[in-house]
Amino acid sequence: MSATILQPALPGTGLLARFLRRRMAAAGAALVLLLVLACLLGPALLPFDPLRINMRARFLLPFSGPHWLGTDELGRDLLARVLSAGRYSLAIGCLAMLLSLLVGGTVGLVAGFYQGRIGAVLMRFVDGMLCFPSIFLLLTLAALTSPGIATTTLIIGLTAWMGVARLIQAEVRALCERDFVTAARALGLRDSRILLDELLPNIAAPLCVAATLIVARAILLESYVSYLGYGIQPPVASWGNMLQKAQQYFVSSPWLAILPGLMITLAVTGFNAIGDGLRDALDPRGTR
Amino acid sequence: MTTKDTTAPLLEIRDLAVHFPTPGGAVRAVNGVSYTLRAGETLGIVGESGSGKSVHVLALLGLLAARGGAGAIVSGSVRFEGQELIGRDEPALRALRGRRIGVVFQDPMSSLNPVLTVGEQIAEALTSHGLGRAAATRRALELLELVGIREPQRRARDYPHQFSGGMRQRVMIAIGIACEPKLLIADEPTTALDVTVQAQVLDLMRDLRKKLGMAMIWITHDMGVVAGIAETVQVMYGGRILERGPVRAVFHDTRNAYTLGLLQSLPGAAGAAHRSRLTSIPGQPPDMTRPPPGDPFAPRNRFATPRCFEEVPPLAQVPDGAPGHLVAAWYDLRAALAAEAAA
Repeated sequence: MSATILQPALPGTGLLARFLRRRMAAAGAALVLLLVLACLLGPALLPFDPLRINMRARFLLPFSGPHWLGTDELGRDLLARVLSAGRYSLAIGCLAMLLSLLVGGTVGLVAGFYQGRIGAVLMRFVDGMLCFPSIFLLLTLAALTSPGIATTTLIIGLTAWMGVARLIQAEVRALCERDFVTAARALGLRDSRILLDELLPNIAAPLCVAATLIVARAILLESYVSYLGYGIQPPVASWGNMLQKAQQYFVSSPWLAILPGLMITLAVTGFNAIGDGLRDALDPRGTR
Repeated sequence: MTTKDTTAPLLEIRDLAVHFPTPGGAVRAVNGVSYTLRAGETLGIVGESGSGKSVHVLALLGLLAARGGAGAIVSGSVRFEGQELIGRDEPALRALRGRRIGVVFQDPMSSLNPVLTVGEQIAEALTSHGLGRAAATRRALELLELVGIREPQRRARDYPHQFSGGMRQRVMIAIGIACEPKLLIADEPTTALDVTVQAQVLDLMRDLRKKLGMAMIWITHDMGVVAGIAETVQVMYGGRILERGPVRAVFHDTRNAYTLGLLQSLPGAAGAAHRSRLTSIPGQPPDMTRPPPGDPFAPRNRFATPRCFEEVPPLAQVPDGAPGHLVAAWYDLRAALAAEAAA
C-alpha cells in the first residue's frame, strides 16, 4: 500500500506494469497482439490470394508443400483464408464492441444518474430486450436484413449492449450516493459536466473490462451468425462461414474445421484474459 | 433580532422548515429556523446528529434531492444578497453555488473524486463558472499554495488518495474558496481529522477569512471548535434554535440547559473549569416523526417546567443578557442553577 502512495503520479505506466505483472493477462495480450498483427499483415505477405481457386490443388494436407496449412475444397490456401477471415471477424468484434459500449454506456449513465422516471423507463426497456434469448434476437434481425459486414456489426452491437447498460447503471447509481457527487453539485456544476467529467472517469475501469469481454462475445456471435449462413457471405471468408463449409468434409479433412475453430478459441480466450487482467489492474488503489 | 447595522444582511432566513414524507409519517427535520448573517460574520452552528443543522444548509442550497432527500417539503424564506432562494429554479441556484456560496463537506476522502487529480478538481470549480481552462489551472496552483500545500506544481497532479486527511481537507477548502464566495458553509470540516490537524485547519480558516473577507457558517457538534473560530454561536436541537448569541455570552452566561449540557460534556473547556468529571446529557434525541409538543429538549432536561412539555418556547432576547443573546426556554437557567447551588 505504502508503495502505491509514494509512487509518483504516473497512473498510465503504473497501470501497464500492474497489468503485465499478471501472467494470464500478459499472455492474453500477447496472443491478441499476435493475432491482430498476423491478420493485418499476413494476407499481404503470403504469396496466395485467399479467394483464388485452384481445382488442381484441393484438400492438400497441412505442412506438405507450398501451402503451409493446406488447402480447402476449392484449392484455396487455408492460411491466407484464415488470416483474411480474421480481419473481418476481429473488425466486426471490435466495431460491435464500440457500438454496444456507446449505446449501453449512454443508457446506463443516464439511467443511473436520473433514477426517477427516466431511469425506470430506460431500465425496463433493457429488461425487455434481455427477455429475448440473444441468439434468436440476433437471427431474427439477421433474417430481416440483407447480410453484410455493416449489418452484421450493427446487429451484434445492438444485441450486446444491455449487459453494459446494466453494469454501468449499477455503477453510476452507487457513485451517485457518494459525497463527491453532492460536492460537485454544491460547486454549481451542471448535470452534463457531472456526468461526463465526474462520473465517466469513475466508470472507465468497468467499461474497459466490459469492452474486452464484449469483443470476445462479439467474435463468437459473428461466428454463430456466419455459421448459420446469415453473416459474412462466401466467397469472403470469416471464421464462422469457414466452419460451416468445413463440416461437409469434417471426416475426410478435419483441419478445415480445426483451424478456424482454433482461431476463434484463441481470440476469445485472449480477450477474456485481457478483461480479467484489466479488472484487477484498473482498481485505482490496486495494491499488488 | 438585533441588527444594529443598517445594511441589509448577507443571509436572512425566516421560518425555514424541512419535512421529509416517509411511510411512518413526516420526519420534521427543521421546524421554523430564523436567523441572519452579516457579511464577513462567522457563525458557528452546534448540535448533535439529527438537530437539523446540516439539513437546513442543504435545503437553502437546494441540494436536498442530491442527498437522497427528493420529495422533501421546504417552506419558509431564505434571502441571500436580497434574493429569495427557496423555490428558485435549478439554473439560478447553480449559478450561485460555488460562485457566491462555497461549501466544504465533512469527509474529504469521499467528497473528492477519486479518479481526478486535485488540480483538475480545483480547476473544475473555476471553469464551471466561466473561467478559461488555462487561467483556471494557473489559479488552482495559487489556491493550493494559499491553503498551505507545498510544491503546488507537483501536488496538483496527484490523486486524492495520495494526500493525508488534513491535506485533503485543505484541498476541499481550496475548492470551496476557489471563486472567492461571499459565504462559505463548512459542514463539520474538521470532524474527520486528528486534533492537531484540526487546529491547523482552524488556523488556516481564520487566516483565509481575514484575507478574503467572506462570511462563514461553521457547522459542528464540538463547542470547542466554535470557541476557536466563531463570533456568534447558535445551538440547535430538534430542528429548532435553542440559544444564540455572541460566543462569550453563550459560553459564560449560558441560558439554555442543552447548551449547558454541551459545554459540560466538553473536556477542559472554559465552562467546565470548575468540574473534574465530564458529564453526559441523559436520554436520546427525540423521534422527529413525532416531535414533542413543547420544548424539544424538555424530556431530557432536569430544569424543565410543566409548561416546557406543552408549549414551544419562543426564541427571545435574554432580558438582562448581552445584546443579541437569544434563548428559547420557559425556565430561568441562571436562577435554577443558583437555587441548586444554595440547596
